[in-house]
Amino acid sequence: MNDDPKLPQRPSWENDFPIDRLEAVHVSRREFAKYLTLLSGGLCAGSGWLAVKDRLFPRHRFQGEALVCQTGDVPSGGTWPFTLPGSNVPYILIHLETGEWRAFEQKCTHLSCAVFYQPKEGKIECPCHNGWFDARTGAVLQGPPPRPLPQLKVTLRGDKVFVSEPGSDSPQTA
Amino acid sequence: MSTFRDAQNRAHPNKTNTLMLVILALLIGVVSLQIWLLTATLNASLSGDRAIVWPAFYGSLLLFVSGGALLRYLPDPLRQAPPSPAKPEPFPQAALAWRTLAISFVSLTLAFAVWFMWSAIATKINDAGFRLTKEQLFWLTASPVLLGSLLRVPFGLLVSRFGSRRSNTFVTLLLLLPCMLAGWALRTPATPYWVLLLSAALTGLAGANFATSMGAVTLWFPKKLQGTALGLNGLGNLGVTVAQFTIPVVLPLALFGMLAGSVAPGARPIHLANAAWVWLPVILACAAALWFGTQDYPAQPKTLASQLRVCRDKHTWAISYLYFLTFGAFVAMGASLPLIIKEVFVNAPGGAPNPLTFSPLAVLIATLMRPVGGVVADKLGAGRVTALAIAVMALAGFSLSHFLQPHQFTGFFVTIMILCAAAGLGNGSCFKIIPSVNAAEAGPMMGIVSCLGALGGFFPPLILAWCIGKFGSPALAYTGMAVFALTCFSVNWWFYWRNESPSRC
Repeated sequence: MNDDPKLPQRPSWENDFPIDRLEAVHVSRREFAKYLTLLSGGLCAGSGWLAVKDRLFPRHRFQGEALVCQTGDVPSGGTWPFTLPGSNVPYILIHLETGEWRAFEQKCTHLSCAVFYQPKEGKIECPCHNGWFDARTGAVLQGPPPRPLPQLKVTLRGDKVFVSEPGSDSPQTA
Repeated sequence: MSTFRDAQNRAHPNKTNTLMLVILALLIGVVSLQIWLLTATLNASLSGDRAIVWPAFYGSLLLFVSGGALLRYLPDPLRQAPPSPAKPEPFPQAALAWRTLAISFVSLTLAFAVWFMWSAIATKINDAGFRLTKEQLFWLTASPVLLGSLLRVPFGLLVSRFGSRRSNTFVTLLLLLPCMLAGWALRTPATPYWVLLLSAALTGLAGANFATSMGAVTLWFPKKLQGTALGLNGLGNLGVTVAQFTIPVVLPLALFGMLAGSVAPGARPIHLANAAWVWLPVILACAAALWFGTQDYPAQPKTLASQLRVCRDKHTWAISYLYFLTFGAFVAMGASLPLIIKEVFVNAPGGAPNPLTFSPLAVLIATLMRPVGGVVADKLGAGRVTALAIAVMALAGFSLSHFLQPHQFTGFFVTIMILCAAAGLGNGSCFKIIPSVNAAEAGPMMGIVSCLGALGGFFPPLILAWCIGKFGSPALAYTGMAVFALTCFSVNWWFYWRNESPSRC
């Protein structure tokens, strides 16, 4: 019970709850300060994990080309989902109405929802938070996604469709 | 003292309010900056700008440390009466004890470096002109471990019989023998294999040094600091890392002139004898430091028979069982992780990960966690900490079998690091249990426990290799280890964690 004369008088019902007010207030603020420090440590560990991941587990760049499908499999305005061997990332191959071919990662850059191609509008939609990407460049048109959709380079050989990492030798032939 | 601060806090309650408010506001600022740093860095690195990642981490670390430092200024909680401090256990000769620990740590690091020198030599020995098969190389690296573990039993008895200073100096000087012999044997590829094997076997003496060193340290510290002291001494395991990094560096240098001979296929001469002889001056320096810098603990020397009584104590065998798991996992990681990485992840997308980059990290984290385990065991109770370590190891062992596809190296390596950190924690806390249950005969008990523990490191590489040979993947071995960990958990619970157990600690 607190009988320090400097503090204001407490109501009489507080006699039934014998918790020293000052002590309780001080203790809970101390704990909050310590929890904030713990949170700070966790965030620091998160930054550290990013740094370690960058040094020890750099993003693997897929080498060479991979066969996706035949050109006849994908009608104009259609899409073809595929994955590259050795990785779990889903991709979609889009046959645009203009005749061009594009391949993008299907993971939205906002929170990794699956994105879908809207045939009439030439745009890619992420239904989760109403994000839209341009179907020819992958750039963000609207919504919360912070970065453009990662693209793969599409090469047509005869009637087979191949994809490879952008930045390889031959220029975009589709 | 607290009286003045107490009076101040009572007289001016608003002062502490303001102080608390400022600290909280600053901490909220720190956390907000860190959240921004983290999300912005994540965004940038995913967009391709990877240069920002390390500076962002350093900034976040700086912010965290400053935030933590603020906690020092938290006002004391108000109490009606100041709590009376508990009577601290007397700790005479504290300065001497810490000095002994420091010197002992250095000489233990040296001993571990010498013990593992053959594993570093074995990687380069065929480059230097020797023609050794895989079997022969395996026995060169395995025989020091085997003999080192067996010899730990008698060496643990030395301290109780002869005193810490004399036995430590003696075992350190003993290291001269394998080093000189190994260096002389490695001078030329004409040396027959049995000479190499003999010197490798003699190197086991270096491994036995561990028991003497720990037995000596435990004499000097009171019960409440045993975990910390033994854990810090256990940092001597870093000697393994020292050897792995030093030996490739000294091999091309002509340190001993003509004495070392030189085997020189190609343009770069390799002076293999350096790997053994470079330790000789360090051994002499350590022995001198031990002889002149430490003293024999003033206690009655014990007879041999009284020390062997420790074998009848059930705790010796219970703790050995636990240490078999924790230390065995640690050695197994060091010895066989390169093999696993090479076999399982050779087809990883992006190229096979370099085993030499990743395996020292696993050994390092286990070594660094050892003193942490000791300190935490001192504070929270060794039974609890050991239980936590074993539980984490079991979980990690069960989940490892999910990460054995070639493209899952990240998950595999993270799990291995968690496993090794838990093993290191368990190592530190196991060694705290020993003096807690049997302070009088801690030295001999440590000898037996560390012997069985080191043997626990000898078998897993064999089991892993057999598993890969028979099933193509080490999943069964890891699951077996996890099941073994569960049995260890029950042993630990029964003896050292249950509230009703008389040996609870």
